[in-house]
Amino acid sequence: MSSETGFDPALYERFPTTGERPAGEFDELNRIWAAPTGIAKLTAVNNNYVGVWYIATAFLFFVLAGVLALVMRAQLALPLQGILPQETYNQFFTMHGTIMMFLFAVPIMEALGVLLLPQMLAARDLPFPRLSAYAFWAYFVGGLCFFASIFFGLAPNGGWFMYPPLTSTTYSPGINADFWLLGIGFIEISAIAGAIEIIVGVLRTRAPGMSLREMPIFAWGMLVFAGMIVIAFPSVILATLLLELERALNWPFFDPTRGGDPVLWQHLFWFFGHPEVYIIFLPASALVSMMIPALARTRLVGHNLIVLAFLATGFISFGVWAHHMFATGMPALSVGFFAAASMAVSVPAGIQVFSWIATFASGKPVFNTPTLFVLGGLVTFVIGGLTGVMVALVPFDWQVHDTHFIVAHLHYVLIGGAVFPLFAVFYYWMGMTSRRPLSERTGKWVFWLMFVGMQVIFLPMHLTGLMGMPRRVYTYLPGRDWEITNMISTIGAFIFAAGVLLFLIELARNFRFTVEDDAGNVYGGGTLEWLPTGLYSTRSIPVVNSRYPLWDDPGICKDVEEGRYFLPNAPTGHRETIITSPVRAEPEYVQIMPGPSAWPLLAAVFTAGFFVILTIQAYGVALFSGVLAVLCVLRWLWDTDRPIAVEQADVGAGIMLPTYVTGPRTHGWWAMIVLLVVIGMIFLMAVFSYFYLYGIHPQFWMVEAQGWWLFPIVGLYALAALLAWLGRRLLAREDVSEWTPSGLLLWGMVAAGAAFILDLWSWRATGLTGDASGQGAIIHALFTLQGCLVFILALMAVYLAARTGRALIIKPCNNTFDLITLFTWYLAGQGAASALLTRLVPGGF
Amino acid sequence: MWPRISTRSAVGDALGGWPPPVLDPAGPYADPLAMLSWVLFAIAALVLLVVVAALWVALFGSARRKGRLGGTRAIWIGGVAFPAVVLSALLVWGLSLTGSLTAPIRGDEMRVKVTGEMWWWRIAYLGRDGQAVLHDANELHIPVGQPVVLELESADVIHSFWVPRLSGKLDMIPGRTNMMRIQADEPGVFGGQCAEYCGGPHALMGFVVVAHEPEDFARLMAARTAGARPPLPAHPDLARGAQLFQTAGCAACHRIAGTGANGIAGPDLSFLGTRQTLGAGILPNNRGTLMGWIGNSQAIKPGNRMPPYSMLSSDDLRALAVYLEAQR
Amino acid sequence: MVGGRLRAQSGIGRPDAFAAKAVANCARLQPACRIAGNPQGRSRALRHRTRLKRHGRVVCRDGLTIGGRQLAGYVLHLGVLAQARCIALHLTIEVPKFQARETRRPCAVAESVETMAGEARIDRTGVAAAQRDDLSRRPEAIVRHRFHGTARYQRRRKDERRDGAPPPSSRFGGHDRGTYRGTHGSDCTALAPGVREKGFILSPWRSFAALLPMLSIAACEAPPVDRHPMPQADPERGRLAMNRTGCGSCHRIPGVWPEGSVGPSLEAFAQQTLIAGRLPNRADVLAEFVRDAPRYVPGTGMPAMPLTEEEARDVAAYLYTLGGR
Repeated sequence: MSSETGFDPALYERFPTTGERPAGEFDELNRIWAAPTGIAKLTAVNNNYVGVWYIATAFLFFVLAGVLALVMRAQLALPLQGILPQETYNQFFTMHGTIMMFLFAVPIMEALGVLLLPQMLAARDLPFPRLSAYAFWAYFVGGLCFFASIFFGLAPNGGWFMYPPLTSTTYSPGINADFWLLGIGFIEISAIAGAIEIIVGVLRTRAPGMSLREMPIFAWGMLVFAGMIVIAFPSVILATLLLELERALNWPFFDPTRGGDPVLWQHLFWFFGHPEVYIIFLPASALVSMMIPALARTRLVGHNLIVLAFLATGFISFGVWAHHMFATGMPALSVGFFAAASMAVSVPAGIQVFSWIATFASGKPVFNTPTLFVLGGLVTFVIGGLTGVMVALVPFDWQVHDTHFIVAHLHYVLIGGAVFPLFAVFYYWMGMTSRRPLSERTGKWVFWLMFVGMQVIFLPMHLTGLMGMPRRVYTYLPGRDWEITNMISTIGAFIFAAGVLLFLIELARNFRFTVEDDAGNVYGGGTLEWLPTGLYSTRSIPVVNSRYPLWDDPGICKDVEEGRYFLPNAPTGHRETIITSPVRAEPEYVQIMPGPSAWPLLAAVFTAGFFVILTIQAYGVALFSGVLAVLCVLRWLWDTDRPIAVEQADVGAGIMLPTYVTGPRTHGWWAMIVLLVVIGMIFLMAVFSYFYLYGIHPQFWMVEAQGWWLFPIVGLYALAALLAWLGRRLLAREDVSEWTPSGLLLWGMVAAGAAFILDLWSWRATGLTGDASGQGAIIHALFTLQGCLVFILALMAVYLAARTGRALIIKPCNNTFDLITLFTWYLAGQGAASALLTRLVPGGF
Repeated sequence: MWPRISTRSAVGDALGGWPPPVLDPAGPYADPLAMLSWVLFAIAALVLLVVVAALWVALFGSARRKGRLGGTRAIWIGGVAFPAVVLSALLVWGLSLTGSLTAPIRGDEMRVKVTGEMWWWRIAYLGRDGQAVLHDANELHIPVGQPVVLELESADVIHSFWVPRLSGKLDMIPGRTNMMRIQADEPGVFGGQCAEYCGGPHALMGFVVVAHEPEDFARLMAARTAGARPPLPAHPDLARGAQLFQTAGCAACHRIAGTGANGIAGPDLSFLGTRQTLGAGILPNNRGTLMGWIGNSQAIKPGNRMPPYSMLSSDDLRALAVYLEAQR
Repeated sequence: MVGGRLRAQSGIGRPDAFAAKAVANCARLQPACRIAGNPQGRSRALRHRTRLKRHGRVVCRDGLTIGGRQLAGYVLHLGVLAQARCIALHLTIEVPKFQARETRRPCAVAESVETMAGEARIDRTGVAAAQRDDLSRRPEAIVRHRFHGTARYQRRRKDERRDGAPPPSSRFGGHDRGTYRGTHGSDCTALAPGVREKGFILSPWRSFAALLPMLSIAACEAPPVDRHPMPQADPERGRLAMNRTGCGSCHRIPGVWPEGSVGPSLEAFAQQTLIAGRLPNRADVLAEFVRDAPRYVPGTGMPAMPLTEEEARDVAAYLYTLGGR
C-alpha cells in the first residue's frame, strides 16, 4: 500500500487502541464543544445547530411557496375566477418558482450537507463553521425579507426566469424586479459559501483511511453538487449583475436597439438554470442511494456506476441549457447538439434508477415510510424523466413548450426527484436530531396523501397542456374544456397539501430537537453518521476501510464511544478536527476550528440589510449597513490564522500531527482556489457575453482604444504579480523585517490598482460610455467585475497592514499572506486578460 | 377518432380544448408533430411499464427472479443499453423531423409579418416586394392548402406565436425576425395564444387564424386591398361615431383605412366589424362588448395600453360602437 | 292568465286531479286570498327570508308558511298533504277578504301559485307552462308597463299616504284598479280566457293541482330561496351565456368575466327594485330587457345583446341568484 502524503498506513494498525483513556478527557471535549446557551445560542456555529436551522428555514420556504401554489390552484380551478387579480397572480407564480428553486431546493440540499456530511465523514465539523453560519444567516434574513415583499405588492412579477426586456426598467419600472435580484443575491452568497465548504469538507476532512473508494455515496453526490454550483452559479451571478446594471445605469446588455440582445440573458440564465435542476436532483438521489441499502438491508449495487453517473450528469448537464430555448429560433445544428445532450443526460439517471431497483432486488426491502417515499419518488421521477425525453425532441417541444405539459413535467421531476426523497430523508435521519422518531403510522398517511395528491395534480395537467393551455396565465376563458382537468388538479393540490399539513402536525407531535440523546439508528443504516454522537460529533474519529463500517465492524460504535480511535481528546485545548489528504484520506494536520461567534451573525444581518435597504433605495443607510458588514467580516477574520503554542499534537496512539501548516496543503488554500475558480467562471461568462454581443450586433462596436495602452497596463499587472511573489519569497527569509514582504505586497496591490485605473481611464478617454452601446456596456461590465476585485484587494491591503502592524504576519510563512498573494495573482491575471480582450477583439483583428 | 365530449362555446370554439389541438392537427406543419407525440406516448408508456415491472419483481418477485435482477448486469442493460438504443433511434427521427420542418423557405410563399405587441398582434400582409399591402390586427386570414410564411417580430418584450393545430410555437424576440410556416388543409378558424410570459395580461393575449378557400381568400384580399371601402350602412349614429373617432382621441392610436385616422400605436381597426373577437381574442365582438371595451378596457384587461374613456356618454359610446361595427 | 295554458295541459294525471279537487273544494268556499293584495310583499318577503334563515322554514313570499324543512324528514311525505291542507285552510281564511276586491283575483291567485311553485323550485309541466305564459312573451305588455309604471307607483304612494293602509299590490307591480283596467284589462282577457268563462277559481285550483305533488318534491329539497321564480330557466346556462356574449365587459357580475365598470354593478341584482331605473324588476321584464334594452328604455347605454329568448331567460335567472338572500 503506497502513500499519498508520506503517512505510513501501517499506523492504522494501532487502532482501536487498548488501555484506559485518561479521566476528564471526555468532560474537556464536552466543555470545548459546548454550544452557548440562552440567546447566545444564535451565535452557535456547530453544524448540528446550523444544519437543523438551515433545514427548518428551507422547509419553511417550501411550505410558504406551497401555500402560494395552493392559492394559484384555487384561482385556476375554474375559468375566469377572481380569487387572485392578474397582478397578484403574476407575483405569486414568480415567487412560487423563485422560492422553490432558490430558497427551498438548493438551500435544503446544502443544509443537508452541512448537517449530514461531517457525521458521515466522522469529522468534528465542516472546515469553515463560521462560514456556514454566515451563509445561513444571510439566507435566513434575506430570504424572509424577500418573501415579505409579497405582502407589500412589491414581489417580483417577471417569472422566476426574469426574461428581459420584460424585466428591464422600461417594462418593469417598479422595484419588484430588484427584489428578485436581491433574493437571488442571497442564495448566490450562501450557495457559493456552501459549495466551498462542501468541496473542502469532502476532500479534506474525511475520517482517516476513508479513501475516495470508501467514501459514502452522499459525499460523492455533494462533491459533484458543489462542483456544479461552482461552475453554474457564476453564470447567474453575472446575469443578475448585468440585469441590475442595466436597470440601475441603463447599460444596454439586453436592449437590441443599442446592441444588446435579450437572448444573451437566456443563455446565461439557462447555463445556470438547467444544471440547477441536477444540482437539486443529485444530492437527493445520492441520499436515496444512501437510504436504499439500509432499507433493503443490503449493499448498494453498482456503487461505482452511480459515482460515474454523478460525474456524467455533472458533465453533460452543462451541455443542455439551450433546450429551454428550442422555441427561440436557434440554428438547426445547435438545436441538434442540445437535443442529443438532453437525451444523453437521461442515461445517468437510468443508471441510478436501475441500480436502486437492483439493490432492492438483491435485498429484503422493508415497507416503512422512507421506503414508501423512495419508491413513490422513483416512480414519479421515472414518469418525469420520460416526459423529459419527450420534450428533448425538438419538434415535440415546439408544441408543448411553455404549456402546462411542461409544468407537469418539471413537477414530476422535481417532486419525484427531490421532494419525495427529502421526505424519506426526514423520516430516515430524524433519529439523528430528534429525541423521538417520527411515527410510522402517520408517515404512511403522509406518504399516500402526498403521492396520490401529486399524481392527481400533475397527471391530468399533461392533458391540460396538450389541450393548449399555456403556462403562467392567471385565468382562462370558459368553453375550452380546460375546466375539468384544472379542477382535478386543484383537488389534487389540496390532497397534497393535506399530506404536508399532516407532516407538520407530526413534526409538532414528535420532533424534539436534541444533539445528544437522539432516537438513533431507527432504520439500521451502516454509515458513520449513526455512530454515537454529541455536540463534538463523534467521541473519536475512526479509521475507515469499508463503505458500511457499522455493518462490517460491529464493535466500531463501542470503540469510537470509548475513544479508541483518532482524536479522542482535545490535545490543543481548542476545537479541532483532522485534515486528511484528498484521495487516500491520510491524516495531514490538526485543524484548529473557530468556536461560536456573533460576528458571522452580525455580518450576515448587515449584509442582508445592505441589499434589502439598497433595494428600497435608501442609499445612505444601505452604505452604512454595508460598511458595518465589512467591518464585522474583518473582525471575524481577525481571530483566525493564529498559530498556537502546541506545534505538534498527539492525535491518538502516539501519532503526532502539526497544528499549523501553510501553503497548498492547507484547507484555506483549497478554499481560496475554489473561490478563485468561482470568480474566474464569472469572468469567463463575461468574456462569453463579450463575444456573444459582438457576434450578434457587430455594427455597434465602433469605438477602439489605442493598442499601445496595453503595455503600461499589462506591465503594471505583471509588476503586481511579481511583487506579490517576491514578498512571499522574502517572508521566508529571516534577515528582513516583517514589513518588507508586506510592503512589497502592498506595493504590488498599488500597481494592480494603478493598472485598473489606467485601463479604465484609457477607455473613458475614447468617449465610450456604458449606456452608449452593447460594446460600452459589456466593457464597463468587465470593469465593474475588475473594480469589485480591486475594492476587495484594497480591503485586503488595509487588513494586511493592520496585521503586519500587530505582528500577526508570522514568518517564515503565513496563511493570511499566502491567500492575499493568491488573490493578487489572480486579480493581475484577470485584469491583464480583460485589457487584452477589450483591445484585441475586435479592434486588433 | 376523438369522442365528442366538448362543451365549447362560441368564443372558445377556436382556442384549444377537446380534442387536444396538439393531437388534432390541421396542416402539414402540425401533422408530423401529432404523429411524433403518439409515438412518444407509446414509448413512454412502454418504458414506464418495464420500470414498474422491474420494480415489482425487485420488491415482490421470487428469489430466483430477484437474484437475476440484483446485480450490475441489470444496470447495464436497463440503465445504459436500453435507453441508449431507444434514445438514439428517437434522436435520429427527431432530428430528421426537425430538419424537414425547418427546411429553407422557398421564397415564393405568401408572407405575413406578425408583430407581437404588449398584449395584441399586429399583422401586415406583405406583397411580393416585401412591403406591407394590408394592415390588420389579432386575426390572420390565410388561404387553404398552401404554406404561408410568417415573419415573427416583437415590438417590446418577448412573445411567442402559437397556433397548436397548425404548427409548433416560435418566439418573437425584439431585435430578431424568426421565420415560421403554417398551412391549413381545411377552411376553419384556428385559435392561437401567446405562449411566452409577457407580463400583465399575458393570459389574455389570444388571436385567431381564419383559413379560407383560395378563391374566397383572393376575393377577401382583393376587396380589402382595393382601397375603396364598402359604403357604410345607414344608421343614425354613424356620422356621430365617425366624428367622435376623430375628436375623442381614438384616431391618435388607431388606424382606419380610408379615413384620417392613422394612429399606429394600437391595433388597426379598418376591418373591426368583421373580426370574430375583441381585445385580442378574449371577448366576443358585439356592440355591447365594444362599448364596454371602449368605456373602460382596463377593467376587462388590466394593464393594457388603452386608457379608459370615462368622459364619453352612453350615446357617444354607442355611436362609436356603431361606427366601428360598420368597419368591414 | 295561468288558466288558459294550464287547461290546455293534459299532463296532469289522476292523482293530481284528485288533489286538485280537494284544494278546489277548500278554495271554492271563499275564493282568492290576501296573497294578491299584500301591500308589502317585498319587505315582508325579506323579513320572511331572514326568518327562514333563522328557523330553517320555508316561507312563501305571500305569507303562506310551509314547514318544508320539517317535512323533509317525514316518512312517505305524509306531511305534504298536511301542508296542502294548511294552504287550503289559509286560503279559506284569506279569500273572503279578497272577495271585495274582485277583479284582480284571477291574476292574483294565479300569481301566488306561480310564486309558490317557483319558490319551491318546481319545474314540472304545469307550473312551467304557467311560467312560460307570463308576460315575457309579450313585449307590448312591458311597453305598457313602462308607460304607466311611473304613474302607477306615484298613485300607489299617494294611496299609502291617504288611508294609511297600503293598497293591494302584487308581484305584477301592484297595479291599482284603474291602472290595471286601463292597461292590462285586455291582457287579462287574452291571457286568461278561462277566468271570464268559469270564474276566477278555476285557474288557481288547477294550478294548485299541479302544485300539490310538486310540494312533495319541494319537501325533499333544500329550502328554496328564489324570490324571482324562473322554474324553466337554468342559472348556470345563463352564466355561460353571459360569458359568451361578454356582459361582463360593462357590468360587474359575480361569476362572470370580465368585471367591467362601464355599466352598473349587478352584484346584488335580485334586491334591486328597478331595471335600468325604469322598469319593475321582474323576471319576465328582465328577460326581455337584456335582449333589447333600447327598445324598452330608449336612451339607455345598454345595447341590444345577441341572446336568444331561451338564453335571455337563463340570464335573468342567473341575475336573480345574485344577492338574493
